[in-house]
Amino acid sequence: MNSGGSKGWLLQRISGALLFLMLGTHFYLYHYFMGPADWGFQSIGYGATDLEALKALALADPSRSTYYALAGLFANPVWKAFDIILITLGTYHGFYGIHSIIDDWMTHNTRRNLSNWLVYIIGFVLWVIGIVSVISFNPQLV
Amino acid sequence: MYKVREGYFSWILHKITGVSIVLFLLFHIWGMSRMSKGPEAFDAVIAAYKTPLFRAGEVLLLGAILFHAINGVRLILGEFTVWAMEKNKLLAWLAYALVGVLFLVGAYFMWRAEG
Repeated sequence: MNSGGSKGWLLQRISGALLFLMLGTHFYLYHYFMGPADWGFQSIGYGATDLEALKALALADPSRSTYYALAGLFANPVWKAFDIILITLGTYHGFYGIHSIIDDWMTHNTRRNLSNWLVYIIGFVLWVIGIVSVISFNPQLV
Repeated sequence: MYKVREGYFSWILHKITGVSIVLFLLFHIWGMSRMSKGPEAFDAVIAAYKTPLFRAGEVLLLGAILFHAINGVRLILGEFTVWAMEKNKLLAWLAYALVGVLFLVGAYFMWRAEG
């Protein structure tokens, strides 16, 4: 029914296992680590040269501390790369999953193929939007 | 094709949580693209995320992800090891228990955290 299905099947397991590991880190970073007034960035290999400037900005305007926390995190290219990999695995795993459901439930060939292509296109566009968002996040240190 | 037995509940819930998480992903990446457009846009999105509606949604998301992740590990184990295949029913109940406990603890702390 689906040529190359076993490769996709295996990739779904691999991406799932990687997402299991990476999502824990993702939640920790964005819900706990970037929480109120936590400035322990050095502990995760912080790469910015203007850490002190970021800290001063955040202290001057605490309401914007989350923005500066993310600016600090993304100053390290490792964390931008982490998010790019996460988006890639997430959109792949999610949209392959939708594709599997379509293959299982849709019996009409033309409709199934059209639905699958629609899902691939939506997934690809979403992936591009995600990648562009991460790459283009350049903190405005005003 | 599929075993429609005690695994049916897990199977259908895996699909439902999976589709829900993809819908969240659409929403999440759309939010990210708005957040990347400067501090004002960033703050507006963060402010929306702190409203009770979004916080309740986050708790639901936690439940969906916990089930999908833990049940997913069970599925992978069952597909790759004979041991897990034989202990499938026990592992399914173990997964439910783990999801339930982690959800209650996680939801408690998420809801208690400052808005």
